[in-house]
Amino acid sequence: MNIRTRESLAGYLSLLPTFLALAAIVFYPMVNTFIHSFTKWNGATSEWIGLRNYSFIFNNGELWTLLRNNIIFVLSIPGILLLSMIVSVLLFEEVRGWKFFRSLYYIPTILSSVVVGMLMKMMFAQSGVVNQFLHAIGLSDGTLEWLARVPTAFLVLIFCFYWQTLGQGVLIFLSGLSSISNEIFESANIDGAGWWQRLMRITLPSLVPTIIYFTVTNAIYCFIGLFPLVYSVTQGGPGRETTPIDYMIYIKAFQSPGQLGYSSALSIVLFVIVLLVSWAQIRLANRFEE
Amino acid sequence: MNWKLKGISLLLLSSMAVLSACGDGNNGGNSKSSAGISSPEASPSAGESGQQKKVKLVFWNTSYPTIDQNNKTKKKEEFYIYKAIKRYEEAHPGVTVDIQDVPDGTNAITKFQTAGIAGNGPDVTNLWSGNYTMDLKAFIQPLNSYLQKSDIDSMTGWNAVTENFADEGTIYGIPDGSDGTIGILYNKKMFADAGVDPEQNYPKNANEFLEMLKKLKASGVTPVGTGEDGDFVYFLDYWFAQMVGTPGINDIVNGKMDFHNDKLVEVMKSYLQLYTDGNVKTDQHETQFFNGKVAMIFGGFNLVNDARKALGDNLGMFKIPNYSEDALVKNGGIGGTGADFVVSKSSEHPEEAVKFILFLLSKEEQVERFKDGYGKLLNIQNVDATEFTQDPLIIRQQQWASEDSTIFWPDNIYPSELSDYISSLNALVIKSQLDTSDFLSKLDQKRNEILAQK
Repeated sequence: MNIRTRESLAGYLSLLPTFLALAAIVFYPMVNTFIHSFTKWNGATSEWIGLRNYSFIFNNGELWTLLRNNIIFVLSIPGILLLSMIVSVLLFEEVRGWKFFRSLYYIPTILSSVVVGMLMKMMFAQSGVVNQFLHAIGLSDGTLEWLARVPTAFLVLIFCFYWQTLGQGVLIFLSGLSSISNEIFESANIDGAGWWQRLMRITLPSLVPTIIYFTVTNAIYCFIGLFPLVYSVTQGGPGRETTPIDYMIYIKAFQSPGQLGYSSALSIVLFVIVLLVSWAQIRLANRFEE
Repeated sequence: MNWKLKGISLLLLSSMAVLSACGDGNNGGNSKSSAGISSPEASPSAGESGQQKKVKLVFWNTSYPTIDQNNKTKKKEEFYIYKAIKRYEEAHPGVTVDIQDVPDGTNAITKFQTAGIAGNGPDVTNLWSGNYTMDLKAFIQPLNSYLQKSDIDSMTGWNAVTENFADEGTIYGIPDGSDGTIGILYNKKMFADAGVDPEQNYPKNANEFLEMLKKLKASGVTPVGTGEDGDFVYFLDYWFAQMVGTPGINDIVNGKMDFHNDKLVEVMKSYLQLYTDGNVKTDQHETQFFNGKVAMIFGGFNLVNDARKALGDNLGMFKIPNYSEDALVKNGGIGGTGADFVVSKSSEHPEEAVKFILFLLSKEEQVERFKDGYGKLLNIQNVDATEFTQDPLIIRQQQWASEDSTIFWPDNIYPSELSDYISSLNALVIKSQLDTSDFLSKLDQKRNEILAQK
């Protein structure tokens, strides 16, 4: 065996453990889920039923309500994007107290979603601090049922999403801002550009890749990461009005007998949706970048 | 082979060993052996007849309290279940019970299901009875061969754990005590101030009940406290079951009758009127009742002790009024055996597991746990509650529990997905965000979907 072959072999063998781990942890469950999506499966026995699960998903009307709920969260992304950018620019400009605020904004990010959810559930309960505060300043009679009504339940969930994402967003944008060369800013200063011009002509265009990254990752999160928040705050209610697809996958898998096959099919549908959304976003972003 | 290749080969082999160890879930069941639960010495195949057989039972505790919210310094050994296990281990040398606390309710069901799929479930655990248990029968040991006729004859509630709710058939669990019968707990003083005596002038139907609430409201109090989902499983289910009878509930489940029928549409109107008339508060209803902020709540035995501590002699109890004089079932309530003990299919010691469960459910142990404040009544045949309590409301609860008019929890009869759906939609109904007729139609639609997927 010559040295080149030995080196290639060593390289492939080095990669093999990682591939084996990926195969066991990622690819095997994916393939398994795909196969089970064509079955009626209760966890112990499965029966091949072809496309029946998919037919149910697209015909029972529930998917469109679930998708609507996911899309409401996706539509809230520009808000947190803007907020993260404003805060990060302020921190980057080192406004007074920036070190304190940097820590303050980051703290919610390190909390688990369930902790955030439980906290918000208590705060927005009928006798929670939010209602007490609104009552104290004369804005309500103190009995607003935030989580029992559809628009306000969504508002609470979006508030949780914002609160938890802001720190992460600021961190991402700060790193994006740090990567912009100081020389550009200095040149702009010499040319007489003001703060606003620097922001609009240098900072924001330089941040396009960061904006794309933030938008794509959060769009994916809005499809596959909402479960812990929804589970701990609204449990998908009232009714199924705040139930996103990932929460329905849980309901079908663990609260419905023999529906693990259906749940697998719903997972595959979600996988395809996320794939399409990400692909569309990246295509659009590339065009925008050009 | 040079040192580099040797190193890589070693790394590869160790990676494969690690992956194979965590790859096959079915090994989970066998892992008990390696954990010493069933040691070679303990195995009957070891053939050491002179040696004491050692058995370790894993018990997932979903229901016995092991934390006292008011006294965090209380040691585990001071809780009933630890004392009971100690008694059992002393009486059965060689058997040890490894108790592990897991979340209760639907979380317990989820955990048991995932463990069942992986093949590493516990020997014993406690689940909700009826369809919640039957949904998991692929992972539960049928128990008929481990039970004596005398065991079955001594306890009540077997329908809740037998396939198809039949009197005889495959038994998947052992009924765990009784929840009594859901009635109305009320604040005597508030009622007296409003000039209402519910026990002397018991409302004969829904209209009289609504009139009673009107009088309470006129006296300046909030008449009713309910959960955020409108206490569907405690209250609305009872009026449903009264009007269609228990066979009717089965017909609804099987698709032979619809939720959307004249009788239930009528029930929904009266039910919604409770809310639209402003009689009900849904914010922390139990606390509000204990603090004298609402005049009544729907509840059974599980609330009597706390309510007694809060209200003392001011606490009263009466049955939920019949919806109508034409009801098929009258003067009853919802209740019975809402939970059971099961033995998982992964258990290597089902016989010992059943013995342990029967010990926990012996009359002596049920009385002991009752005295410890555990929220269940006894499911022993012909039990006399005066033997272990002086509280007249608890004595009455134990009597109610054995009456024929107590209807087994319909939410344990509906498919579990349907129960969850009803509760979530009911929250919209009581806030007038969903029309009652649409509500019933949606339930039919969901029921049909579930049947179609069977």
